[in-house]
Amino acid sequence: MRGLLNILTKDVLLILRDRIGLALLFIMPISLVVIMTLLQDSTFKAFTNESIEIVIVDNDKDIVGQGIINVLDSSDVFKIIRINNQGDTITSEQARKLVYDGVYKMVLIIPEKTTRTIRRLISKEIKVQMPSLKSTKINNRKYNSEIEIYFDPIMKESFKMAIKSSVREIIARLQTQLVFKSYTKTIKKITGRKNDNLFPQDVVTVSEKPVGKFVDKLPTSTQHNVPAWTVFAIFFIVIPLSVQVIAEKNNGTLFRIKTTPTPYYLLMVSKIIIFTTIAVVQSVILVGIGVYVLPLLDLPTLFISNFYQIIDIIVFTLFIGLAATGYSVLIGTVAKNQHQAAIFGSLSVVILAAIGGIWVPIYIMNDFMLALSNISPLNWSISGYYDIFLRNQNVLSLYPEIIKLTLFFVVSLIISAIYEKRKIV
Amino acid sequence: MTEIINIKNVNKVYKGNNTPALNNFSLAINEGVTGILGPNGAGKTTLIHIITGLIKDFKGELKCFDYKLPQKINKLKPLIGIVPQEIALYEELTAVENLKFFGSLYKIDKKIISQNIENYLTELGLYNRRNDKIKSYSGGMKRRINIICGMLHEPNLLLLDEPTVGVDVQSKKVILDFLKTLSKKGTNIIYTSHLMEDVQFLCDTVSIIDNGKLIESGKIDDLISKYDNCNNLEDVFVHLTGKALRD
Repeated sequence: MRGLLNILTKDVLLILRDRIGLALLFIMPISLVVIMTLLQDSTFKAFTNESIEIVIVDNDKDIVGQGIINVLDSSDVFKIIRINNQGDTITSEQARKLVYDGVYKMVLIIPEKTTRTIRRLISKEIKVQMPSLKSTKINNRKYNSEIEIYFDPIMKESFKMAIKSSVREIIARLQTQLVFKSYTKTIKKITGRKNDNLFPQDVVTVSEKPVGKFVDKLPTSTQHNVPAWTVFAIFFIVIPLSVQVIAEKNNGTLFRIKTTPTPYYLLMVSKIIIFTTIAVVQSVILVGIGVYVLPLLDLPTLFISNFYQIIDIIVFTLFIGLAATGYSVLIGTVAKNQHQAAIFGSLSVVILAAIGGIWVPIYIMNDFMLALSNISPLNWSISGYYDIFLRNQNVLSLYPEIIKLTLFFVVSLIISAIYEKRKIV
Repeated sequence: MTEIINIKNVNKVYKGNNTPALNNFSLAINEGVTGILGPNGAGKTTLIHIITGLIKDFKGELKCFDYKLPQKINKLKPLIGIVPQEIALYEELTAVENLKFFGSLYKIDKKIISQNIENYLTELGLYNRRNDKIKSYSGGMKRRINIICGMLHEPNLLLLDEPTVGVDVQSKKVILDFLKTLSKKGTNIIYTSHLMEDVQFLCDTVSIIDNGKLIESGKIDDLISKYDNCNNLEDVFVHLTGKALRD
């Protein structure tokens, strides 16, 4: 125990005095989380269920205007903006300028008397279809009302089409309701029978069913980037750790240590403890950035539901730390010099990150890349984090990922030990 | 003189190499200061690696302080100290931090280690720089710390591999005087070097090895007088190993 404590003290001192290594371990991931979340936020909003801001100017102030607002508001897809920064209702002119200036991506202007126009059209149709009714003569006026939608030019055509279709569907439904009400009222007049005036419920419904892991709930930019760059940062310990392993091998300190009564494995145990602890510290800092700093930049908050979720994050991070440490020891053992370890270590982590869904989330990968992502330990890691952050799962339910990460750690150490033994003999 | 190391018919062949590093090698080393000499690739480092337990896969018999190797290496480890040819120190740590760390790897009282650190730093003229990082030290200063690291636990046998390589005259003198004093106090020393005058100054006996075999062994004065036209150890060495380059 004393031997381990002494080695731990030495390793802590070495890490604290390696300023470049510390910057690599802490400053780089913090910068990456902030920059990448800022860069990817709008893209994520387009892909995920994150609310899209839409300015609605309701000049109708009746059933249709209010109906459109209610339906869009209840969809969770849109965040309705109707008031400007001064607290005044946004006018049509102001709304057009807002989208023109790029402040908002979409504006929907419902013209005056839209509901009234629809009602008059329905009334005219009823009169045409039921001429026996006592009524004034049928006029020949044409009824028309145009809802205007303005999009930021950067919006995708498919997205614009989807929005326009949604608005048309809402109006069609409202129009049908108004028709139904008018006919019900007319029939009541003719028959004198009371009617409960209920609009029939939809017989045929359409609902989306999950076919894959991510369809049920997609991450926000923060929910992706915080765990993604935490995993990347944890695996980036490959540089300081492998370089340290090689330095000890090449400068004779390892030789000296091996000739002492202190068992060699304690040297590795110390590194595993230190770098796994660093992994936990990295994860706590980056989660803190997601919870407290990113919202200040108008980015989505990383939501932590309770204290136990923090425990789940820490425990799962320990296993990621083990996998990263094992991999770093392997690189440090196989590489011939520090230069080789730094280059191969960083390149391999970048490639494993790309495959594993760190740079680009795996749910937008094609089938081949999706299958390939399963070989990356960074994928197992981010997959576990997704389960914690998105699905509130506890660490016990992450056993498939934990088993894979632990096996990766064990296999890496075994290969390192075999390689080291063969080299000496 | 008591025998401290007995090597009988040791063979060591590295994988992928047909030429044995040690070829039926036998040698008895007694108490005192023994120089192991040999050109590059002669087998000196292999011999040291076997004595220190780093190489366990060899044929033949080797006993050190009556401990059979490699089986009893853990019993032997506390009794030996190593000073490798490389500056085996952590550059980012201070001299005291390095010494405390390496000293702590031997399971002995912390107070003894601290006392030895203070004494050796003073004797080797480094006490005032004890809290400076190794990276700020000169080559000679690093060599001196490198030596102290190997002897903090007061070993019975100190193995030094080229301990004065690349140091200035002053540092070399301090190191050699220090080792001489240490040997007089009873520490056994095995010293490998290419610097014949150092060996001649420090060692009682020398063993010259080449191509994995012992080619000569004995007291320095006896060896010089044994061969014609040899006035010093270097003459003997060249006489026995030849003038051909060993790259």
